[in-house]
Amino acid sequence: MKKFLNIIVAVIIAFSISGCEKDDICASTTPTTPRIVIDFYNRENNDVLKNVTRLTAKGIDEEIGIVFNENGTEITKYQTNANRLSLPLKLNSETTQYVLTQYSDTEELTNSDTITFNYSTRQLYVSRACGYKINFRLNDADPAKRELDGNEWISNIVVETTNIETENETHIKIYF
Amino acid sequence: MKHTLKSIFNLTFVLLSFSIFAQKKESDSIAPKTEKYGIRVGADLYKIARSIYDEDYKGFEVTADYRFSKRIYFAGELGNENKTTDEAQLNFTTKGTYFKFGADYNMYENWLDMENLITLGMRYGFSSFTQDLNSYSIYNPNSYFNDSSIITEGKEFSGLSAHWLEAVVGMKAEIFDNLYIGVSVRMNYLLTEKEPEDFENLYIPGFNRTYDGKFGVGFNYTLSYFIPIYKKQNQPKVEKKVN
Repeated sequence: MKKFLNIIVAVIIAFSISGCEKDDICASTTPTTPRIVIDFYNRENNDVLKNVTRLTAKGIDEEIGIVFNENGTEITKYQTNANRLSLPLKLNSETTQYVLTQYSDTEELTNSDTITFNYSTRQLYVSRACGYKINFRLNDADPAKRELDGNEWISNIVVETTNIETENETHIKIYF
Repeated sequence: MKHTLKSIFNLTFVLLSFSIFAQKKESDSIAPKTEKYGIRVGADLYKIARSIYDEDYKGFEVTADYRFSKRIYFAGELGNENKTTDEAQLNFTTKGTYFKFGADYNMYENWLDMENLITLGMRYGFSSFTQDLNSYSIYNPNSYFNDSSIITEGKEFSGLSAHWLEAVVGMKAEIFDNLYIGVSVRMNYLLTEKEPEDFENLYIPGFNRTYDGKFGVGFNYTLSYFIPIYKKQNQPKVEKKVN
């Protein structure tokens, strides 16, 4: 009998401890809505990654560009010199346009190209903490194209995969 | 409010334990006693109380048990719940009916003509329900465009069901003639469930939250009435050692 009571007490204590909630916050490691991942390659040597120079990326109708380094100055925080770029796509639209500008702060060299992504969206359940996410699928006919203005710095765009589900892979290759 | 009620319930639980344990076993040379057999019906007071103070909850549960032998009671519960759960990313309403049936084994050695119970039992549970997703958010860690990620267009998932097992620890104390108050704590294990497409059964009527995978917990506080059907005399028994 005493043993049995001890078990009851132990069970009740166990229940009251396990009452603490966990998993209430969406962990940053959980794959949620991805950005489109672009790698930059050398137009002369197609297998070699190439860094961009003081590149800014701005949604065509937006006031300010994407912040690449939080700690930068008013000019440098919007610039990147990397060979990989991750761009958020619009969730409520099937088209997103970006203006990518090289040498953004040098008047003689600056060159802007507009790139258009056409895609469809799909909502997927993730978890209680994260809710839902959106995955994108680039259209087969016109997945990503640059607008021709007679002075392009981008020479070619290659779509690696049309399914944008994770940020761990390259979706688009840009040669310049 | 929620906490006050919770502590009141906890207090009754403690008092209940005292009222049962206060009865000491003393002599063992008592005349053979007659024990009542019959059906006990009751209701879960917690669900009734919660339906009053929690505007996101409406529910009830009726309980019944039938005394099969000196120690074994066939037992079951039938209930209905309508609960809206508000999470940071999701808001959904679960509606459904459940039933549970199984048996309780009374471990408690009563003194004189007392008929209290401390039971260990098992239940099989089944629930049929719907999930209405009222609103949800798209998780977008790198939001740049000024696009709203909260979607209020609802989704409805019907025809869902779940089967589970419960291990039950319970107590019932007779407070007046044939009137009992009781409490039970349940550990649930989900056997199977029919899940909605592109959503999840985060709450199952009768089973409760499913946040810990296949395991869940439940409890009830019952007020029940025993309807005696017949009486049976116990065989005078040999003195048992009490440890």
